[in-house]
Amino acid sequence: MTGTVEWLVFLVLAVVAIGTAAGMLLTMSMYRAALFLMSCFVALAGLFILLEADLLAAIQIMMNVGGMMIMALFMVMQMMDPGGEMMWEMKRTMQLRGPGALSMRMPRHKRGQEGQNGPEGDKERTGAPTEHICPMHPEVRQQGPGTCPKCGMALVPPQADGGQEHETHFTGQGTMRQRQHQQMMMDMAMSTAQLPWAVVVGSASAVVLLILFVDTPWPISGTRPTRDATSMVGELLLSRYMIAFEGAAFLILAGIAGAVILGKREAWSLGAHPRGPQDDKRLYTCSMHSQVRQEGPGQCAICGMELVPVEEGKRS
Amino acid sequence: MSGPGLLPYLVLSALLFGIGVVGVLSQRNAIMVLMSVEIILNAAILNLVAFWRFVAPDNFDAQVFVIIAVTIGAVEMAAGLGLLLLMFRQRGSSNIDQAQELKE
Repeated sequence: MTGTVEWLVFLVLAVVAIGTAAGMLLTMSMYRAALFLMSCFVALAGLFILLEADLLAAIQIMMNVGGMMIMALFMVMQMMDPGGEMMWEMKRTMQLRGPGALSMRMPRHKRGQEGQNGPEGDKERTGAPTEHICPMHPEVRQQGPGTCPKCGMALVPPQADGGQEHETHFTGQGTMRQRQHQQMMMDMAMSTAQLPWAVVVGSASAVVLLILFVDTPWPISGTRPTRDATSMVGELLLSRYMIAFEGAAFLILAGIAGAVILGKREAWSLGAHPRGPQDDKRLYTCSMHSQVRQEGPGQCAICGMELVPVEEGKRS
Repeated sequence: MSGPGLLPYLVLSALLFGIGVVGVLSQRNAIMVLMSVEIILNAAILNLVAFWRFVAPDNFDAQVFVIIAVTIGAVEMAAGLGLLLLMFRQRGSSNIDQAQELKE
């Protein structure tokens, strides 16, 4: 490949990688975010091929794209609005600017209101002890967030115009106040109010890395790698790095087992997984013949009735 | 004209790293945080491969290291998704702001 073609391929892949990574953070739909990340990984795999590491490109695609497929599946299962269509519709109804479902840009409020609204919104987000109420039981009030002792719902900070907020959402931009609007966009967006700070920290870390990279005199070697990288890597994996190879395999198994066990545990604690009779070590008795006692359920030897747990027998 | 050298790849990986940091710090959903961590990891892997190609092309240890790193990324995603699924079942959302049982 000539240098110009290599540059061209590099630039295209780099733009795709950066664009899709940024798109992942900007899109309103989590499903789309998973697809964006997948294309970012594929672009990186293309760069690996450009770097003559074909084996790594294959592994990158298999592992990461496979992982992202599972991730996308999770998105569809969990999200209320995986395709982002609801938000798109909402944006259109409210006549917000921005490229449809691809944007989570919050409308900027006017200069005059910024002083009053900004810090207040931040205070609520960061959990400073403002008074919170239950949306269902207005008498339940406490300092700071929590759950309602009556219905278990999350407590919310009181809104100036509380209940009417939902009705005004869809009535267009005219009737919605700036603050409501901003609050709602904040709830819709997938990022928190700390986004500007995150952008500052992210850019700062990228700049520091860039300065370090440019400033360091790397000992660049002019040789090209041998074409037979795959067999070399295989040999290394099976000899010097055998233990790391096995450790990685073990880690994969442990990760999968951990994920499965974590998923199961919840089912047990909810009681969806009923205890088998062999697990039941409680004392059972007959409701007619109190002298009959045994561990675990069964039938009374005298009358053949179902045995009941001792506690229940006492209560009744 | 020769192809892109080491520096363009390093610049690209620094940019990807910055995007990943923004995501980790700003995202509300735990799955998105996990995905941003993946971007950071992949930026580091791109760095590794670029250094292998331009600094030590005869030493394949770097490639083995990349394979292990990719594996760890996959395991992290599996364990993270397991945790998230648990969290989602318990409270109906995977919003990280709500994961604060240990606060008190």
